Amino acid sequence: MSEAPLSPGEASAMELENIKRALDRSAIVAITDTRGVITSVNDKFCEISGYDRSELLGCTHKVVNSGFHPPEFFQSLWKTIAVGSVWEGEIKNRRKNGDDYWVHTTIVPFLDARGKPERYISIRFEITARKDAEVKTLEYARKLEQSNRDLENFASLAAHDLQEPLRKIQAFADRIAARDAERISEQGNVYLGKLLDASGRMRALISDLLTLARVSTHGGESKLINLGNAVFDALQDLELKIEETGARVVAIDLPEIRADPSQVRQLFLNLIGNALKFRHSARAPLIEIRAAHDLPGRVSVAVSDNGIGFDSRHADRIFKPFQRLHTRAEYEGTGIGLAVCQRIVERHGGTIRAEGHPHEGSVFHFTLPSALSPLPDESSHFPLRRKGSSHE
Amino acid sequence: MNDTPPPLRIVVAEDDPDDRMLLSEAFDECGLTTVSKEIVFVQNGEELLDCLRGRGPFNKSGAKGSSFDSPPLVLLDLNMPLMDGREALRAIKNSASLRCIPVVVLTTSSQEVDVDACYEQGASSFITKPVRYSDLVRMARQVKEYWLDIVKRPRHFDPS
Repeated sequence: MSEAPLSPGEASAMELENIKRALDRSAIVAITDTRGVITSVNDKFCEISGYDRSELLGCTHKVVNSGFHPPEFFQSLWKTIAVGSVWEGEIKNRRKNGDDYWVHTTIVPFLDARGKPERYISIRFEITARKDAEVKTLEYARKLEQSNRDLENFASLAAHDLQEPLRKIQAFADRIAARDAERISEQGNVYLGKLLDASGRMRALISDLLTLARVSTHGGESKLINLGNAVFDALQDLELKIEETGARVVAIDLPEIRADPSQVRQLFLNLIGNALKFRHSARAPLIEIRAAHDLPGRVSVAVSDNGIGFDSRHADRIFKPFQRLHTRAEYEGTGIGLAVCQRIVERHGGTIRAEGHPHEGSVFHFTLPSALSPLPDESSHFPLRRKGSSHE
Repeated sequence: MNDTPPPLRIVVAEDDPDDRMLLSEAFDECGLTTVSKEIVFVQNGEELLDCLRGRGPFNKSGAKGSSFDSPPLVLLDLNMPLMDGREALRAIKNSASLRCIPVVVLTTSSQEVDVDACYEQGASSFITKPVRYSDLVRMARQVKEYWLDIVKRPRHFDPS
């Protein structure tokens, strides 16, 4: 098409016209005076709000007020734009027919020659669908959490009830063994012994399952604690074993963290206890604990030992409950210790992994919330709740 | 005449009939029998209080007041229906007349119980019921000897 070229003035006017048209097509636009009285609205505003232009011009935005936000919300909004600053946020409005809708809003003051606002332009995008989905997701997550909690409680209740008959089996088998040993055949006594063994083992297994479940159901509050102190507490419980084995535990620069103190103690008790248990016969155990702030809001911890190590093929398996890499004859234990460790770490929003070097040793890496990490409210795990905009 | 110590009295509150039987046998082996009334078994918290106060089925003579002339020792199982052990402990320790009775709390698994809460409520001691019979007998013997020591103590203490 050949036409006479546009003058610079015409060109920029057309450019503005194009931009305005694009804006009007995509966003809800309104212009108000300094008192908030609407002087101009685009078609989309009318379309979304359900009001005619004539019903909007000359009114303030009170026309679309849904009553959801407290007065303070709008006071703060006005304070911001009255000094010439841009305000951005999410507002819930109400259509003419009474339905509510959410808009992501940006209000930009147009300043006069003295730098004072003379008009306000608000540009909005409807986000009702997204908001609704958010609410639904939150509700679903809450239900899921509750269901998980119920499951955990059930597991722990069941475990407790399961232990009772087992205790009786042990008690009466033992009673027979004590009272009637002479009257029973030798083989009979052997069987009794096996009865006692098996029921004792089952009791230990159930007790361990209970311990595992309780990490979630009976977890305590997170507090600001010194990681070194938590390690020290764990070492107190292992004093005898440490002395027996001639073990050395070296802790390097352990910082403050925000966590459940008794669970962190349990975590180190299990890890260091394992390191002592699976020590190498040819040397005294050397256990090192290191920490680093290499992730925002987290402290990375590494617990390493010079014990018998393990084949890295099993690096994932060892965290599963009751998965043992050795027979009962070789090493005692039910195999729940690392599962408990994993659950404790995960409850604090982290992950744990293991490195095994057969005959050389093992390293366990995990993260815990640092002292500067946000309060549990805002983390992605327990509990799920949004700070700020309430939905009630 | 004042040398003869009052008879040993132990009241065991245990709801489970199997545990009652085992405890009864264990104390039997220590020479404490229900026949001599040195040891009495009750089944729940309410019965325990009745026994201690000499009320209801424990009021054989028809006269008012407890059949104990000195405070007995109470072995109390925590998990009992119909006024559970914790409530019974609270009732005893909140009562002006019963408060002086020492209560040893019994439980089957230390995992489930808040030990501190028991001590705070006034329990004198806390025992996890042993599974092995020999350990149960040893526990019974220890309880008996502990109590024998207590009842043998002179009624008045004059350190001057």
